[in-house]
Amino acid sequence: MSKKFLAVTLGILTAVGGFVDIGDLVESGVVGARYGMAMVWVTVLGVLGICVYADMSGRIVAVSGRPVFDLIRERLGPRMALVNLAGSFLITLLTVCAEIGGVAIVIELASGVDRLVWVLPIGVLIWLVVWRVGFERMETGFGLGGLAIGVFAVAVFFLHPDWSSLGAQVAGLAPPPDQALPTYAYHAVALFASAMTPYEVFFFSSGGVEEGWTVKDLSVQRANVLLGFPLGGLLAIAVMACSAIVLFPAGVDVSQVSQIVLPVTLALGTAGLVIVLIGIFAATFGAALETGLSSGYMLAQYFGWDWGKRRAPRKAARFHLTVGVGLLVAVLVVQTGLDPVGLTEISLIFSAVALPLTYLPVLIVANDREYLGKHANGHFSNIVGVGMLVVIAIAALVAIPLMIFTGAGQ
Amino acid sequence: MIALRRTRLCAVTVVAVAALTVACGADPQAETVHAGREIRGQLELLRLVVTADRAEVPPVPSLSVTVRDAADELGAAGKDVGELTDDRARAALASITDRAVAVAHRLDEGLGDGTDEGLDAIDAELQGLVAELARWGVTS
Repeated sequence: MSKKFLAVTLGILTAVGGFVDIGDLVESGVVGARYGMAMVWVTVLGVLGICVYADMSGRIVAVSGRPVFDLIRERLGPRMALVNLAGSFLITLLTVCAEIGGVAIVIELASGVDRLVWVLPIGVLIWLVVWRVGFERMETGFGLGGLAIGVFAVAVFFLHPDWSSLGAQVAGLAPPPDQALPTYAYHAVALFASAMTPYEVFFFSSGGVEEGWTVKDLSVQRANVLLGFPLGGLLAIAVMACSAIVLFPAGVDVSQVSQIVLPVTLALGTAGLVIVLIGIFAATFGAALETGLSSGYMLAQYFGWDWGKRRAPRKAARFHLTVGVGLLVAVLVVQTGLDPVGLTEISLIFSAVALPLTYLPVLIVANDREYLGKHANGHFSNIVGVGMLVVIAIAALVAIPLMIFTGAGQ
Repeated sequence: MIALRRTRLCAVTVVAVAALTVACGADPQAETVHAGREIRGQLELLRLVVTADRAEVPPVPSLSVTVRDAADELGAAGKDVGELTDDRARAALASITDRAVAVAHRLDEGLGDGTDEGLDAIDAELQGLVAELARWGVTS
């Protein structure tokens, strides 16, 4: 009993720490500085969406023993799956770039040495971890490390905010009067996409296969999703709150990660800074591993190659080669000096465009009783799932027009 | 008939939106405030660094990076200032930006051995620049 309790707790904590990546961090900081707490509802909506669809993906894996992408190809045919693959693969590669950029910035903040110096060593280190470290150890280690981001929540209290003002911002929902509605909508779409990034579903379901989930594990994985992700969402809200308390009143527009970290430094001094840098390092490095692996998972599952970290690299050579090449491409892109925050914003907007390609097939497969039997979607999952799909479709449709019209949220 | 009306309505809408866009874009005061806001935000950010509790927050590399980033952002804001149509506002904001960049660089160099007096003097300069921006309508 206590062993199972420990396993469930560890899974939840890993899910909490693994929830926040560079996208959540940057976009929560940006909207907190720009709109105060007015966009908390978007984070809540995004967390609801990822919970519903991660739960479906978990059931698909636990019942069928096969990853979601594999079933999408079988159920919807290779052509539809190819469209899904093309969109999701490119977005995931863009996300790898953003995560590597995030890791480089953290090391720059800790050392003062320019981030571009660190990009290649980071790429090599990620590849080594993918190659040498076991799946569960990797996921648990970086997931627990990511919990250090909880220092944002501690900082909120040490900043002694005007709670009634923060509450009014949360309840206000709308942008401040001096902010344009299209820009508000642009950032809402980006924040929503940060919670529902497509790689999360592919990594979650492929990870389920790596860990050998069965129907017996359904309750544990459901606890991970339904407790871990919302608690992770609270961390994202804490990042937003720190920006809302310190940067919003000062009229500072966030355009650098250093600005997002500043409120924690001001509230908790050097100790807080060290903890937050450890947390961001673990979160972005862990997400770089997940996105790097996800790019390999997608291709391998589409083409029917052997895949996974549970297999020796020489037995899944094409999978490991894909991951390695993906990392190399990402390193080269980041090494050009592209602004990581801008890169993150763009990856989020294009993620929003690709969201229906990821989530519609999941909804279809989760409703197929041939695959899932009695574990297929019930009424509640379908109502929430379809509702979220409508939101996803709207976000996908407006993402690019809003990006062009607002000059990427300027 | 209905199709013709729709076409006219669309054309009128497009012309109205275009006119509004041109009108907004040509408002010198709005342009000045917009460009000034970015500068003011970075000045306030530098003030946050300068006025931090110096016992709790020693001059760590992260603060230097924050200051350098602010200097870069001020440089980028300077490019927007160069496109202002109001000559007087352009000259004034360009001067403010140049001085703000200079302060940021001094602050970056001084963070390592920054005395309280030195940091207070820099804060006074930053406050002065914020006050100058306020004279051009940039108050938030």
